[in-house]
Amino acid sequence: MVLNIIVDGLMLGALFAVASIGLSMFYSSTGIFNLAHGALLILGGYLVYTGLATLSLPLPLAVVFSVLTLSIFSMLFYRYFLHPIRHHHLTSVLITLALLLVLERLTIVLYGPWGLPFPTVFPGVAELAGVEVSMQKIAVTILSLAFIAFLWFVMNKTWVGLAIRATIDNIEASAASGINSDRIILFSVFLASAVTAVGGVSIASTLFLSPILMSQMNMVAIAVAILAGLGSLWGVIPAAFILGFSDVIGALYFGGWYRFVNLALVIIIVLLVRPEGIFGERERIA
Amino acid sequence: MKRSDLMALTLLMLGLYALHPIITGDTYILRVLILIHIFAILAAGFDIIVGYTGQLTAGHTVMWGWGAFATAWSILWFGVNPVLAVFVGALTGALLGFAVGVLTLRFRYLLLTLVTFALLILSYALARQFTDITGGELGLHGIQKLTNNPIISFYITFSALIATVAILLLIGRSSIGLRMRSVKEDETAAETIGVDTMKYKVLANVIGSFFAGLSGGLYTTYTSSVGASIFFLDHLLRLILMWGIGGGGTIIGPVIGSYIVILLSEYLRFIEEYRLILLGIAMILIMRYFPTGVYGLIQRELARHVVK
Repeated sequence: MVLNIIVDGLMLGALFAVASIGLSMFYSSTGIFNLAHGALLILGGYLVYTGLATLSLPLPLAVVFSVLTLSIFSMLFYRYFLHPIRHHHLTSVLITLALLLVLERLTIVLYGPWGLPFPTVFPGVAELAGVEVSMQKIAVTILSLAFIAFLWFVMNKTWVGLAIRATIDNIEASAASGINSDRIILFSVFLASAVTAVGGVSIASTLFLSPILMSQMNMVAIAVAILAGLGSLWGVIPAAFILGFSDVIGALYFGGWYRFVNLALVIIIVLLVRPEGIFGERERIA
Repeated sequence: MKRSDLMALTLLMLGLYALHPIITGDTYILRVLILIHIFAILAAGFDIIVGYTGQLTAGHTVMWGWGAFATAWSILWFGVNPVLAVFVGALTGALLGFAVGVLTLRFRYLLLTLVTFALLILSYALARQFTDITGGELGLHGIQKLTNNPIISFYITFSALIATVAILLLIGRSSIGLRMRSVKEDETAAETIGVDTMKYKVLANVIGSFFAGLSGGLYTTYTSSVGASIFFLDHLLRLILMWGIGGGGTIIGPVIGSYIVILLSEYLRFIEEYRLILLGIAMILIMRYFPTGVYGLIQRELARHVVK
């Protein structure tokens, strides 16, 4: 029972982390809260499905196809629709909400309103201390965490990462020291969308692939971002695990309906009690 | 064209619009127009909160939904007269608006949107879970209608819409509206010149939510049912489409927007799901290139051709 909770909580936490980190990254580098994040995320999963089923690519290439398509779309959308109005708070929120609507409906039109099957790449079942877990879930959890580690490496150990962090920290000062901030922001949009697409693949291969997940995972990502503190990139990971565990435990004791209440309550309570979240900095908020 | 001619023309068109049900008596178009009136009241109330004080609340459909439930409960459980029950819904909306307005005073911009968004999700989860009270997904049915005659319904909702727009325009053009606008433009500057920003933010919430509740009451007494689906994100997104396409901050803009959104979704039924995709793309383009919306474009054209 306890082991079940631990295994499920860890897996859900890893899934939440890879599903939410793109939102936080997009927000810290562009200053725009992308309410269409959930739609982009699940679209990443659908694009892999297209790559596998329609273009009959092997899985790694299908993932690359999904990452590239989603990133190019996000970069173009950011460059031509969000960048020019990034200082208008109301307009930017409304545009991303409209994008959520468009992408969700487009997915329903293109792929149908029902769930799609996603192939099992890692067959078999493993036993973790008496709990049976499918190999696919274990592999996806490890791959998700590995991808987050890769992102951490890029952000903290490379020159590009340094430039991104400098731009996030102080855009004028970084521009004065010779960083092309527009290009760097565009690159961080690329990174954020790439990790979002990978998150979509993780969700598609462990849960299922359905347009309904778009607004649900949107809520998850918002709750994780707020619990972590807006603008805190690495706070997302502990926050995702906290939410993953509370989701599993809550669903066990109160039933599945509690999942939504859990997310909504986290958002409301965290913002009322500690609006900067666990790791955020106060001045960064809004 | 002179300004007085324009007024006369507008009044003439409004008069024709008001008279057309008696002349044509086409019930299909009446049903669409009644829904438009109800949603236009909702959108106009949304505008006083978003367009005037700049608080982008995602909780407007929360007030709408609970207003509808309050109306339904007072009719089903307490046998209240439906006309009175609609006002019960409106007052419930206003009370909730006050509570949410006070609760969200400490938030600005994005955080306000996210908190109210969470309230919407919470409302949906509660309405779906407590099926004894709310009927859950299936909802409550058999709520007594205001009237069964679509023509009378048309006039009731139309006069409610006219009253809403008139009241909101009066508020918007008075010194209260001016102070609300100053809050939107720059809160700190508004406080410096002596505007009690807290008071006007809460006041905008109360007024806007009153009309959201009114719209909810009209909606539930017109459809004679209400369920947890009233808190669906779709309603909020449609409301935002109306606001954005019509042009916010003008009261009349969102009303025009609700005509555009509902008429287009009604007459483009043959392209089904593509309707909302088209409207969403239109909204993105309008927000990006013509932030004043359709009404702003109309005003600009009029300003060019009308002499005072």
